[in-house]
Amino acid sequence: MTDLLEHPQPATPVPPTIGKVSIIVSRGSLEGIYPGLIMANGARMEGIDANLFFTFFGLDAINKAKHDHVKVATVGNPGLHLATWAGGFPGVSALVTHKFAAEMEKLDIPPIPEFIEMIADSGAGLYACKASVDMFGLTIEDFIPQVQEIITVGEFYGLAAGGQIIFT
Amino acid sequence: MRRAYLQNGTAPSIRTLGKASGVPIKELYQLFPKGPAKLAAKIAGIPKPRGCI
Repeated sequence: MTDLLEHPQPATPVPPTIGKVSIIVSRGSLEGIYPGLIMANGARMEGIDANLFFTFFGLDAINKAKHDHVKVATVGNPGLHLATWAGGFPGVSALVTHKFAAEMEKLDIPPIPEFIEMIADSGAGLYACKASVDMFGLTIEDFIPQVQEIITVGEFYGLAAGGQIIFT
Repeated sequence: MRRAYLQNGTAPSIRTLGKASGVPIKELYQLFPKGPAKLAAKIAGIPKPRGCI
């Protein structure tokens, strides 16, 4: 009988990491768009692959004519602690948006157009949802040039395969 | 990098890095696809950026 001199060593555990994220942006308000952008930019900063998929009113974030005019929703937004009737006055949304923009600039958070460009530059993919694009009667010409393609849900799942999907 | 850390208490964000270095963010990522800001902080010997941007 032979003695086993070397004991088999268990493999050293590798801490789990995220390799790829696919983030869906579905809302068109300022507070609806920023979280997805911050998540995508943060992923790229950590070396994680990122795709952004814009659907429904989230399309405003990549719409050339609209992405510089995205506002905070001041009506029916309990987080603002502002009476719904007060939030509906003309200019309130613009005023609150202006305040937010000033605060964010202090924190080095870029405005949406610059932020989207920065995320595209970092190598993340930008895609528009075909169903929403068709519904709003838009074409690829309506979007900023960084948008790679208008894709279907099926194609999105293909792109997202092997990674995490985040819906915002 | 070290001066920015000592002044602000955190390593510069990728946006600041792009502005300060004059190198477009696109090229920074092409050169360092695993995260330019993180790597720059590592080389400078300071903690990685603590900001979300």
